[in-house]
Amino acid sequence: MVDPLLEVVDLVKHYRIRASRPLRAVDGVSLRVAAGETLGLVGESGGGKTTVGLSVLRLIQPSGGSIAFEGRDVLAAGRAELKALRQRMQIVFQDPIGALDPRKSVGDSVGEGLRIQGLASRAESRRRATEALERVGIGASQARSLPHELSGGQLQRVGIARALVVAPRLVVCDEPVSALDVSIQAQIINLLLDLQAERGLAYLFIAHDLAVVRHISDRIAVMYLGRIVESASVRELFDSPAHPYTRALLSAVPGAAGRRTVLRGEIPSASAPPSGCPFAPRCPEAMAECGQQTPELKEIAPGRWAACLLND
Amino acid sequence: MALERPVAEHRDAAAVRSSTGRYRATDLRDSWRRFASSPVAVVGLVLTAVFVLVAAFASLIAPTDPFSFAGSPFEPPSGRHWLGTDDLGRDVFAGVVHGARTSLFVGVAVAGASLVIGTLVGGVSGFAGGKIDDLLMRLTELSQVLPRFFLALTVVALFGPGLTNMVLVLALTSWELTARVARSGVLAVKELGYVTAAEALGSSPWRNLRAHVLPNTIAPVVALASLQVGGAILIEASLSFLGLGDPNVISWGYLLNNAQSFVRRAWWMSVFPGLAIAVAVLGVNLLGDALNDFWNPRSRSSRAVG
Repeated sequence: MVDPLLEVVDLVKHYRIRASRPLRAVDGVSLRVAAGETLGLVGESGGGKTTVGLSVLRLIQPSGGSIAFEGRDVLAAGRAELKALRQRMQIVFQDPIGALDPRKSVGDSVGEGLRIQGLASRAESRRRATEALERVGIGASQARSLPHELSGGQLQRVGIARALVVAPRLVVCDEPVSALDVSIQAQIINLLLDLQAERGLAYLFIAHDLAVVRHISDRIAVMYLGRIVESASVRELFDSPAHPYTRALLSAVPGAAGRRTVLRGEIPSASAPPSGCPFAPRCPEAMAECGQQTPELKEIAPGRWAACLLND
Repeated sequence: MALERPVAEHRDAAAVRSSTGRYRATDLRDSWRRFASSPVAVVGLVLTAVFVLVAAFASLIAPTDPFSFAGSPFEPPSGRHWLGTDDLGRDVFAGVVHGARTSLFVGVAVAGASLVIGTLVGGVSGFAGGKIDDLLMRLTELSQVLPRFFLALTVVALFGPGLTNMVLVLALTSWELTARVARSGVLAVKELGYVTAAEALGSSPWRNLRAHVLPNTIAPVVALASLQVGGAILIEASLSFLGLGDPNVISWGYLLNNAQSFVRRAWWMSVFPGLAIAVAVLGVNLLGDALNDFWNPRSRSSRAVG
């Protein structure tokens, strides 16, 4: 991969909670997204996926690591530079209704980005907002509706229009379909695919469901407890998962072949991670040394990375 | 899209609105129906309206100068002097009507100042967080522990009676509750998705506060301010009753102060100004309560338009 659009290296986010050990929400995550490519980021709730997504736009300040977008350091950007960067990367949120100001018409919400970025006059931004809404399947007559007058699926289309109206190159999709009905999910995924084909967008697509990311991703990174445990192309990941956690997630996909692996228990607290491999306590294939040794993310084949002692 | 299920049952209304392009007017009518469905709201609104109209058109309603001698002393209520005359033969009706101006001025000025100061302090405090929040909230607590009434007494005693002094003291001591309400509202709203979304589009914190956070937190603050109108009216009346009001300005408290010595001889001198205070304060408080209910999203479903 030459010159990635987004390069995250060793990203760390610790939350200091009073009088206890820091909560390691993200603990050394590295990833790359090339222009026009989709990287799926998958894992259970509480795995730190959203923290990664918010950090990329610096909506939260990471504790360590580096983030480069178009070769520029996002974390060192000054106010004006950050504002300019945010025109070129955008985000779509999980909760479509919470992501829209209840007192503003959806047309105004979509046009807001153009106004903030100084890209268009008031009248012009209104016109372009209507255009953007039409592109995502919201008719011009609904541009004046308030968010509570639209359905969840329509609101997510509005959220996508708002992100795209400023013409970004990268869109962080933070579980954009998790809150929607299954019948609507496919529509939204298809819309995102169409828009990608039209504009050469890159997506960092966050989801907890492998079935969802499979259709949209070129590569997939699997996160567990703030770390990436495996990353590979979609085909390789689905054909020959290298990490037991990935295997467990795959067996949970409806219609998956093979026997089902049901993980025991919950994801451990990130403020008291287990020693050794963080996945060992729940791993169906855990060995004795998994309790002592923390596996590093290693390239096990060209373009394939996994953090598991079984691959040594 | 036909498969999608509306989040709320407003879809038909939305269709009507967007096709006619008059959704603001429809919204207003809906809101009015919802507001008017509560008897408390209607009573509060009517009483407040009467109070405001009387204050606005005082010289038309009672052309007599409330300080001029209009008849003989201690005339009981009659056709000529509807509410009687006082010990100097001044018309009590004119006093009550013109007194409404003073009360309304004090109430609105104090509540307005409290609204502005409180929203600013509370808004910045909640939005900025950290050290600024700590500092502003300690300041708020300081203002909270000051005894309003006695501070007002002291200021009047030191700087002499006057409406301006009184309004200033009351304004500077009544914003703490507003600030707290504004702060808690801001804390609740600032973490919501749409604020983050605007930030992601490059919105500065100040713009976010102004464009998204304050408009979505201001409703309970305004309702609280309308409740403070009543409180300010009562304090002004109390101070004037104690003779610490502005002697050059007619007010209900001034009338009551004057009536003290004649309670047995001329009941009308104290009953009517007292009634005016009670009715005016009741009116603005009911209106404030109704606004609070109206804007509280949790009361929305229980009082939905049928």
